[in-house]
Amino acid sequence: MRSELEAVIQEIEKAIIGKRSVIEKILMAMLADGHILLDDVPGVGKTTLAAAIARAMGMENRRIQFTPDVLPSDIVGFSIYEKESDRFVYQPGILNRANLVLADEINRTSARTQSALLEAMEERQVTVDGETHRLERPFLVIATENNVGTLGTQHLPYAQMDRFLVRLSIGYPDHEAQVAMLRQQRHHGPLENIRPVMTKETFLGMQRSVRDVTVRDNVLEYISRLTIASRDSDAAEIGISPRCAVHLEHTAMAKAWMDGRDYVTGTDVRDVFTDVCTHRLLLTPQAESEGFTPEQILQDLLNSVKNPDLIR
Amino acid sequence: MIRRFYWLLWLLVTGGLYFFENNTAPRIIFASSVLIPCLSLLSTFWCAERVRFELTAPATLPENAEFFCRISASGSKLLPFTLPGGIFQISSTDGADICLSKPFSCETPKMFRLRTGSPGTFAFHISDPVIEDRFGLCRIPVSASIEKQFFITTRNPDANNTGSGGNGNQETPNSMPDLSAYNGIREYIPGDPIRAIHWKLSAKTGRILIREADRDPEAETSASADNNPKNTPLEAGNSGDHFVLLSDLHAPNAQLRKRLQNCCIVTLLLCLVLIFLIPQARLGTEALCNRLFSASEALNAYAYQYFDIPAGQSTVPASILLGLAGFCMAGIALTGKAPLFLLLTAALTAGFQAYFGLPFPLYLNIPIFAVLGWLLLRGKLSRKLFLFYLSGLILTAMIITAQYPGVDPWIETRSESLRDKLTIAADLTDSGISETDEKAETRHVNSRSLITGENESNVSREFRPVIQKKEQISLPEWAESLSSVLPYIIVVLASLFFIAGLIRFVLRRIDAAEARKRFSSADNAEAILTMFRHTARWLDFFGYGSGNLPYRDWSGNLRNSLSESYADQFSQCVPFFEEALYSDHKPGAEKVEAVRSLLNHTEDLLYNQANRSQRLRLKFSECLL
Repeated sequence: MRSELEAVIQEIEKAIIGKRSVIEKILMAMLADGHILLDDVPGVGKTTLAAAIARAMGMENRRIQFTPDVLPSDIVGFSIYEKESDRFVYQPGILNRANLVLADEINRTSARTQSALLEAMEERQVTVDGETHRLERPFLVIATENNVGTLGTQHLPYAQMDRFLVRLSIGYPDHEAQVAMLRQQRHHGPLENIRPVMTKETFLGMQRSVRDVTVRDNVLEYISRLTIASRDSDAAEIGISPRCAVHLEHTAMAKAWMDGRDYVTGTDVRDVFTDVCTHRLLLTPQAESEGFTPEQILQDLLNSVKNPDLIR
Repeated sequence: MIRRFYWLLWLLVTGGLYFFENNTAPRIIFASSVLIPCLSLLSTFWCAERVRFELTAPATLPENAEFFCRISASGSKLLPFTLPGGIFQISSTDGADICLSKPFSCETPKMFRLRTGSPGTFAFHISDPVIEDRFGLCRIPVSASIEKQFFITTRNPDANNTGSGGNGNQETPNSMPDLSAYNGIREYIPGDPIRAIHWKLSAKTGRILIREADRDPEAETSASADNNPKNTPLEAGNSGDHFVLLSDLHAPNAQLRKRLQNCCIVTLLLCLVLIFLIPQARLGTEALCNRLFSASEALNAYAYQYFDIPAGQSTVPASILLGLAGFCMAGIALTGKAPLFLLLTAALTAGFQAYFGLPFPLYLNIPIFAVLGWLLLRGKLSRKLFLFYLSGLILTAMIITAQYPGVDPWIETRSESLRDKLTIAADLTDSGISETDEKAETRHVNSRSLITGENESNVSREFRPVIQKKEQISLPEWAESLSSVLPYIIVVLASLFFIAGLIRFVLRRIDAAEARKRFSSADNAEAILTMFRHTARWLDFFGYGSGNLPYRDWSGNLRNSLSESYADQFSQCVPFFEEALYSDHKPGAEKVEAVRSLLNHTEDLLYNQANRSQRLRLKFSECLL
C-alpha cells in the first residue's frame, strides 16, 4: 500500500474502527474517480465515514439529507433576480462548493432530484438556465440508501444504479471494534482526532498516476469476456454494461496502484469484480426463486471464464 | 384408461386405411402408429427409476406476499416421450388439512406464483409422483416424494399496508402502475397490463418483456385478492384462506385459444347445417361426389352408383361450405386438441380415401396423419420431442421402404389396378404369388375381373384378398450404394483415429521442444513466461493445478499436496510471472534464474514421484530425455 494512502487509512480508522477493508475499497473507488453507493442500516457510521475521509484528505465535505421535498435546485443551484444589477445571478447549490458529497438516503427523494444529482455525478457539471458550471475537482459522491422503513421511498432504478462505481456495505462492527468505539467516544466525538494528512492536489496527482497504470490487451480481453459471459448467462436478466466494463478497468487500475504496481493483473480484475458488478446484475425471476444471489452468479462467471494467467 | 382407448381407436383407423389401401403411405402410417408408442413405452420404463423431482422455494416468507415456487424433474436419460407429474400441495404442519393442491406435469421446469396468507409453519409437498408416457399408455409411480418446510412470518408492525384493508397506497387490480421509474424487467405473464410492455426491449430480445413497476414492497400486491373459496379454482381445506392465486407461469394464453375454438365450432356447425338446408349446396355436394366417383373409376376397376342431379349443377356453394368446414375442423384440431375430435378427423380422412378409392399422395397422407398424431400427444410439445417423433417417422419410413422393394411407391399409390397388373406380372414370372379362389365381399356395386377384364354379374359383394409372397428382388438403390461404400468409410475412420493420436503426440513433442528452446531466450520476459507456464503444465499433469484460479491462488493447494517450501518458492515466482505477462518491464536476470530454479525443482520433484507411464510420457512427449 502506498505510504500516503496508508496514512489516510490510519486517520480514518480513528473514527471508523474495524472496517479497514471497507475504507480501502472506498479509497480505491475514489482513486478510480467513481462514485460510491452505501447500502446499509442506520447508525453504522456512513456520515462519519464520509466526514472522516474528507477531513483526512483535506477536502470540502457537504452532506445532503434527502427528503421527499428536496428540489433539484437545492442541490444544483438556481438563478435569482438581483434588482441592483438588473440581472439574474446564479446561486450555487451544495454541489458547487464540495469535493466530497454525502447524499444521505437518496432513495427518499423524488426521481427528479435523483436525476439532477446523478446527472451532475456523470458530467461533473451542472447546467442552470442554459449556463454550465463545472464542479470543482475532485468531485465524488457517496450516496446512501436506507432500506428500513421504505414507505414513501423511490428506489433507485436499475439504470441509475449503473452510474455508481461500487456498492458497499459497512455493516455492524464486531464485538472488539464496538468496545473500542465506545471507549474512544466516551468523551469526544469520532472526528475530533482526525487531522489532514493529504491535500486535494496530492489526491488529484494520485488519480493521474492511477490513469498511467499499464493495462495490457489480455486484461482488457478478460474484462470483455467476463461482461459478455454475464449477458449470456441464463440467470441474468440484464448483464453487465459497457459502462461497468470501463468502471471495472478503472477500479482494477486503482487496485494495482494501491498495491504498489504500475500494471494490472488478472487477479486485480477478479478481486474487484464482485464489488463493481453486484449492483448492476439483474437476475431473472427464476434465478431469484431458486435463491441465487448476484454474488453467486458473479462467482460462477469468474470460475467459468478463463483467467488470463492461464491463456498462452 | 381413456387414453389407451383413444390409441386403440387410432390403430383401428390407421389399420383400416392400411387394409383398404394397401399402399406405401398407409403402411408407413400404420407401422409408425405401432412403433412410436412402443418407443414411448420403452423410454418410460427406462426413465421410471431414474427420474428425480426438485422443489425450489424460499424458506422464509412474509405474510401477504407473492413468491415463486419451482418444480423440475431431472434424471439421466429423461427422454422426451416421458411426462413426470404429480400433485403439488401446501399444507400447514399443525395438522390442519391441505391448504392447496394442484396436479402438475413438468417435463420442463414449472414455475408457480403463489401468495401467502397468515403466518405459520407450512410445508410444500410433491406427492404421488408418477411418470407417464406421452400416449397415455402407462403410468408408473416413482418411489421418492418431496417435502420442504417453510415459514410465513409477520410483517413489520409499523408497515400499515398489510392485510386486506385498503389505504391510499394499495394498488387496485385495475390501477396502472407507475412506469416512469420502473424497478426492473421480467417476462410477460398472462394478465399483465399491456401498457406495461417494454416494446423496445421486447423487439430486441424477441420475447415479450414488461416493466416491473416501482412500488412499495410492503404494499399489498394486486391481482387476485379474492379469498372466497368458491371463486378460486383451488381445492382448499379448513384453512383455505391461507393461499390464494396459483398461476402456472408456463401456461399458454387459454382464453384466446378458447375463443378461437368456439368460433371454429360454431362456423363448422353452421356450414354443415347450411349444406343440408340449402338445396343448391346439397345438390352441389352430390355433384362433387359424382365427380369423385368418376375420378375413382378412371383409376380403379370399380363402378359407382351416381347421384341423380340436374345437369350442369354448380358445385361452388358446396365447395365453399365444405372448404370452410374443413378449415374449421383443422382450426378446432389445432386449438382444442380434443382427442375425440382429432380421431374423428383421422377417421374422416381415412374413410374418404377408403370409400372413394382415392388415396392421397404420400407427401400429403403421411404429414396429415403425422400432424394429427402429434396433436394427440399429451403435455407440452417441445422441439426435442418433435425431433424424436420425426426420427421415429423417418426410421419407420426407411424400414418399410427397404422391406418392400421392387415397386415404385409413387406409381403404387396412384393406381390399384396397376398394382394388380404388376401382381399378375409377378405371377407370370413365378415369384410365388397366389390368389384364393374364394369369393369374398367387395365394397362396390359392380366388380370386374382383374384377370380377364370382364364384368362379373353379381348381386353379392365380394372381396378378393390377394396373398403375396414377396421375394427380395433387390435392395433399394440408396441401401446398395451405402453397403458398397461402408467398408471403406470404416477403414478410413479407423486410420484417422490412429493417425490423429500419432499426429497429436508429434505436435506435442515439437511444441515441448520449441518451449525448451525459449527457456534460454534472450528476452527475459519471454523466458520467464515460458518456464513458468511449463512449471504450471507439470503441476497440472500431476493433478496439483487449481483449475481456473490465477497462479497467485495456487499456493494453498500446493502447500497441502506437496510441501510448504515448494509452495513458498512458487509464490515468490508468481510476481515475476505477472510482471512479465502484464507489464512492459524488462525483468532482470535474477528473476529468470529464480524461475528456472523453480522449474528444475518442479521437474525433479514430480519426475521422482511419477509412475512408469507418466515418466514415459514426460520423456518423449515433454522431451525430458
